[in-house]
Formats: sequence, C-alpha cells, structure tokens
Amino acid sequence: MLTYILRRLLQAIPVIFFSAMVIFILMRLAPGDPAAAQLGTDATPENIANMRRTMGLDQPISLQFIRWLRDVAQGDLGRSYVNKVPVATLIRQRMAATFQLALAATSLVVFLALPVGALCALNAGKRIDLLLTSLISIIIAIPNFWFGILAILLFAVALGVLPPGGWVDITRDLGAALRALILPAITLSLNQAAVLSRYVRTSMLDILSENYVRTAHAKGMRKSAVTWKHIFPNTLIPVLTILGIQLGRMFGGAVVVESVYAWPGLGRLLVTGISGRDYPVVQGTLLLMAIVFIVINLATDVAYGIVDPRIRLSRKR
Amino acid sequence: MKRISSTGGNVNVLSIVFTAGLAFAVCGALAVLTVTAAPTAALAAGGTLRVALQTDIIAKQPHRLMEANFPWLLAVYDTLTRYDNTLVPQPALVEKYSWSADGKTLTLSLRKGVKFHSGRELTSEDVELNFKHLDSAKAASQLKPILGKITGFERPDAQTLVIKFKAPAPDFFDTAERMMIIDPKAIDAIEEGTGPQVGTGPFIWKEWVPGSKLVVERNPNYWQAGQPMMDRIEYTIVPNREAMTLTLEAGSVDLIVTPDAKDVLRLKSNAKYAVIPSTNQTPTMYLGAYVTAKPLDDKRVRQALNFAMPRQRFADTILLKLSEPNCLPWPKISPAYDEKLAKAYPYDLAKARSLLKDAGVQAGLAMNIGYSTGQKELKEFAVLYEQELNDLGLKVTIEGFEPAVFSTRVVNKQFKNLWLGVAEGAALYPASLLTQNNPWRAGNNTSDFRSDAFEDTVAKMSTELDPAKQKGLFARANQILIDESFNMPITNQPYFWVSTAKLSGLAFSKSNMIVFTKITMSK
Repeated sequence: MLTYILRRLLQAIPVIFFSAMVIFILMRLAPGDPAAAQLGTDATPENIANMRRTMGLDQPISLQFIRWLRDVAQGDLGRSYVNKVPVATLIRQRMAATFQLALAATSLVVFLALPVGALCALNAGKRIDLLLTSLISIIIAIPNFWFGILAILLFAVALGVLPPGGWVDITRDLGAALRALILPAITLSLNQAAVLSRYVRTSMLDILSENYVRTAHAKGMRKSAVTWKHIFPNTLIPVLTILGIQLGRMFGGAVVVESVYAWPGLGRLLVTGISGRDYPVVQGTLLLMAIVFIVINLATDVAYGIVDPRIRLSRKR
Repeated sequence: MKRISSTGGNVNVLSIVFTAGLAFAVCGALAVLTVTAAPTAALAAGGTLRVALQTDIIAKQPHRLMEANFPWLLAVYDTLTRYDNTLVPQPALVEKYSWSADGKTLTLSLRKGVKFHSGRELTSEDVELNFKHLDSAKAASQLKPILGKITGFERPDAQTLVIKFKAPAPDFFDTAERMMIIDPKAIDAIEEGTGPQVGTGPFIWKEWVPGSKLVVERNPNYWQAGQPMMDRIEYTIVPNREAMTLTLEAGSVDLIVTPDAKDVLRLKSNAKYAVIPSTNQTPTMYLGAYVTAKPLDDKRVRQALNFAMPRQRFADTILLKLSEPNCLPWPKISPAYDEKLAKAYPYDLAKARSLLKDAGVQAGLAMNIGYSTGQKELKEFAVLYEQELNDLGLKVTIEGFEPAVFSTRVVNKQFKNLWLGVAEGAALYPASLLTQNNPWRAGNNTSDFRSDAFEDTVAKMSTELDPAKQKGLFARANQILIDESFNMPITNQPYFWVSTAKLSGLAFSKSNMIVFTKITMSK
C-alpha cells in the first residue's frame, strides 16, 4: 500500500507541473490587464505602464513563468497584486475556514445521503421512496443562494438562534464557531446530499439484484446482516467516487455559500482574484486546489482498497 | 461463492462515516441549545461599532483612492483640510493656511502636538514627504497631477510648510481633502504588505484579515479632545448584498453601506433603522460616445441619443426614485451645477428622430453599448435604452464586460461606439474631473473628443482663484459639455448607508468617506 501511495505521489509531480503551466498560460490569455484592473478607469497610460513594471508584467511570459515556478519550488507563491499580502498567507488564512466548512458539509452529506439513499433503495417503488425521491428532486432544483438567504431570514432574522454569517476560529471559541458553521454547512451540503443519495439509491438497487445477495438471503442470513455485510459495502464503491469529487469541489466551488454567509474561504479568494486579475493569487490558489484534488483522488483510491479487497489484490499482481 | 467483502475494513469505514455525521449533528444541536443572545448594542460612550461592507478592503496604498477603502480611511488617517458644504476648506491637520497675493504660494500651519500612531509627532517634513510620495509608481495615486503644479517646498519650522506653485491652484484643496497623511516611516512596510497602516486618525489599525475583517481601536492620544466616542470598530466583509442587509436585520452589525434600492425603501419605513443618504459626492452615471468614427462624429447624432435617454423612467423604476435625472456630471452641491442645463435633454423621441434624420442616419444602423458587469443598474439602464433606440430605427447590441476588462478598454480607448460608465470626483472643484478623469479629461479622453475651446476653458478653470470668474468658466464648460455630448450624464448614483436607529453622529467627507469621530450608540 505504501509503495502504491508513493508511486501515485511521484506520478502527481508532472501532473502538478502541467496544471501549473496551464493555469499560468490561461490567466495570461484572459482579457483584461491586471494593472488597469487595479487602477480603474481614471488611470493614465503612464500609471498603467509603471504599475505593469512594478508587477513584473513587462517581462516576457516565458521568463515570468520560469520565475514563478522557481519561487513556487522554494515555497514562495508571490504577493497579491491587490493587497500586497503574501499569497501563502492569504491561502493559510482561508484554509482553516475552507477545511472547516468542507469537512462539516461532507459529514452532513454522508450522514444524510447514505441513509436516505438506502431507505429509498430498500423500499423501491413504495410510498416512502416516491416521497423521498420527489423531495430530493426539489432539493436539487433549489439554488444555493436562495436557500441560504431564506435560512438566514428564518434562523438569524426571525428566530435569532443562529448568526447570519461570519467565520469564527474554532480554536478561539468552539461554541461560536459551531454556531457559525451550521447554516453554511447545511446550505452547502443539502444539494450535494440530494445528488449523492440518488447515486446511493441506484447503486444499491443494482447490488440488490446480484446473485450473491439472493444467495445470502437463501442461506437464511438475517436481512440486516445481508444489508450491512453484503449490500452496503458494495454500494460504497461508486459512492466514494462521487463523494471524492464533491469534496474536491467544496474546496474551491463553495463561492456562493461563502458569499452569502460571509465565509472567508478559498472559493471567494479565487473568484475575487480572477475578477481583479490578481495573477499570483489565482495561480497559487488553483495550484493548491489541483494538489487537493490529487490528494483526494489518491485517498479515494486507497479507500476503494479498504472497501473492496479485490482492488488491492489486483494491484499486487 | 467467493466472499467479496472484508467485514473488518467495512466496519471501520462505516464507523468513521456515521461517527463523523453523528458528531456533527450532536455538535450542531449543542450549538443551537447553547445559543446566547447576540452582544447588545454598544453603550452611549465607548463600545464597538460593527460595520458590514460588501467590497473587500484594499489596504495597500492609502494614497491611491479606492472606493472600497472609503469606509475606513478616515478612521485611521487624517487629511490636511476638510471641505464644508460650500467647498471651503476647514482646518484638520492644518490649523490655518494663507495664499500669497499672486496665488502662487501657500503657507500651511500644522496643528501642534499631533502624533502618529507610532508615537512620532507630525512635522512639516512628514507632510512634504507625503506629497512627494504621490509621485511613486507604487502609489499610482490619482492625486499625482498636483505635483505638476508645484515648483517646490520650504520648511521654515517643524510646523510650517510653504508650497510654491507655477500658477494659482484653486484645486489644491481637492488634494488636501483626499490625501491621507501617512507616517513616512511606515510607507514602505504598508506598500510591501508587511506593516500596519500608521496615521494620525481617531482609530489605530489593529487586525486585518483580507476578505474577512478589519478591526481598529480608539486612539487614546487623538488630537481632538474627547473624540472618538467609540472604543472600537469591527468591519466584516459580506460579499452578497442581500445577505449584508440581513446581517443588519439580524442585529449582527450596526451599519451597512449601499444596500439594494428596494431594501433602502423597505428599511426606510422601519423605525428600527435609519437611512443616511450621502448628499456629497455621488458618482455620475453616464453614456460615453467615441466621437472620431461615424456616425458618432456628428454631434447631432450624439444629441439625438441624449434626447432618447429615458432618464426619468430609469430614476423612477430602477433607482426607485432615490436619484434624479441629470444631464450634467455635477451633483447639486457642486459650484458648477446648473439647474437649467441639468434638464437640457428631456426625453423627446420626436426631437431625437428629427436630429438623426438631419444627420442622414439610415434605419437599421448598428450601435453597440458596452457596460461593466460590476454595475448592475447600468445594465438595467442599457435594457431600457435599447428599446428607445430600437424605436428610433437603430439596431442596438448590449455587451457586458467584466470590471477588469471594462477598465482596460476605457483606459486604452477600445470602446469605438458607446459605453456606460460611472465617473467619480464630480463634487469637488470642477476642474479636477475635467483634468484627471480619463473619460472626461479635456484634451485626451476616452471619447477622443478634442476642442480648443473646451481645453482652453478647463485650463483657465485650473488656475482661476476668483469665484466670480470661476462661475463664468464653469458656465462655458457646461455649454460645451451639453452641446458636444461626448459624454451624456444620466443621473447621480444614489449612495446610502443604513444603520440601526441607535446610531448617531455619522458624517461624510466630501469624498464620501465616513467621519467616525462623533459616532455614538445609544443603549
């Protein structure tokens, strides 16, 4: 297993390099001058030329890329064009908030999707299945921002039991941090849980019709034992794939939820970086996200091996 | 049959999954159960003012004026002088000033005993260094043009600064009003992002987390005795405008800036809140025209476009009557504002049609209107206006550009037809807008509009100290702006702050920066 992980990590190096190159080139191809974006419509061409020089944008792109790569290799992601703060600091400040939200939301997704999906599959075609699948369809159709605003209206404005937004460092005030986390985590997870529960339902329905399940029942195994020992673990394999993708997306794709709940996460950092053409911030954040995706993919593959020993055996051969 | 599951491994995975979910649910439930009331409003003297902002603070360079920083600049910094409602400079860090008879020498007497937050006493050398720093490429300050008028500085003593000008500079106090006085020893660290903001203002910079919050605390050594009234200000960034309004309604903040017009109206009728309009500098929304290409090189076409503007409908339906139509760039408080000319182009499609006919414009002529996607209201104006132009037989295409792309196109004169923009700075001395703002600048502007008469008038405005003669020059400039219509103002953008009714003493500088010194919160 360790060799496998090391091999995968080595394979990740060219992937990260290629990602870095693509990110760098795409940012340069995007229309809009970072200097003009900074200085606004009342800037003079002289101001803009000076600002471009200060930013190092007057150099050839190849040279800019080599310099950036060299700095990244030394752990320096550069400084934001907009506020001059080191990109590494900006990312570090956002990482805690993003991890907190992503982990809480993923826990909720799992906590909601697995039982709901299983309940639907085990009662396929019955009233409870129809009710839950209809509810799931409605939840999938609800936009995050709309749900977020309604949740704030209800729980923060009308009932006053939860804060309307803001992030609290979990190490400073655990109670306040958890209170602040509830609405964003629910808003972020609801849609994802609905999607995942559909996968769980479909996957479980497939497993239910397998011969080994029928055999297990025929052997006289208790229904719960068949479910927990044979059906559920096999259901998890495709579900893990989706969950891995969903978790990866939460690290950068929770922009709407972050905006509604004033949550200082990586998604917002990336979006404001893109709109302000803050190249160092965008490059640093996307690079980190690429690495996170690679790690999550690796963790998903390792989890396959734990859930399904055949995957492990096949690698040994 | 081959056993396909490993019980041990599965139990672990399932355990982790359910334990995590359960733990979250329990924590969530506990959190709800242990919820306590939000901190109560601050006391009458002292306490914390909580402010929600939609746009992130950009704490890089206080000499570059960015609207995102207007809510905090005057908390941390002071300026040399501050305009009153008639644009007469009032003392701030400068206690008194005097012009020489020829208007080319200005003597500034600084207030004694003013200290930077670093503990250093403010001297005339510090002020001179601040002026010189406007020239820095890193500052990229809009205030830099004043340096082109200054020939030198003299420092007779630590509290006196004498500034020599090439010619009289009636717009000097626009700079004195907007130039933050930074501790020169802190400038490098501020620009490098390694040090805090250090000024002489009523509050001291304490904690800043980009994209999240800013905390400033009372300056116990502030030069205005007994001020500021509050102990602390906490700014929170809430990027979603609707959510920002809800944070006020939930009692999590005391003050918010520029909510949606519909929310302004809603909160206005609720006694729990106070809507505070800025009557100072409100940005001018305008339609720009590129005048060196057909058909817009003919001023009759531009005048026709001006007559076809549904200004009143826009102000009534989109801005919900929070603003009034205006055909001039100047807001009502500007000395250049002219009530008659502000209504020079009433909505009149028949007149517009007639002017287009005179100019030989054929039906089906294609027109493009570009706008910044960062300006929601302007997009809505474009949609209203498109209908009017279609009625005139023109074929209009509306195109939105990201703010970064929009700025690039304006600066590089890449709009070759029409665009919708917002101009800042129209409430200060009128020559400032016409010499510093790209789309409005006499001589080299985004429209490529050139006029000797216009350039001559603006040049004279820039050096004329006599108010009576200034008035005549403003009138001449206005006639040209109206007649040539290279930029067609629509209205002044409404600018509102909304607070809880407990808050009082909120004031604005003429640049729309908040003045915090007298803010208090009742119990």
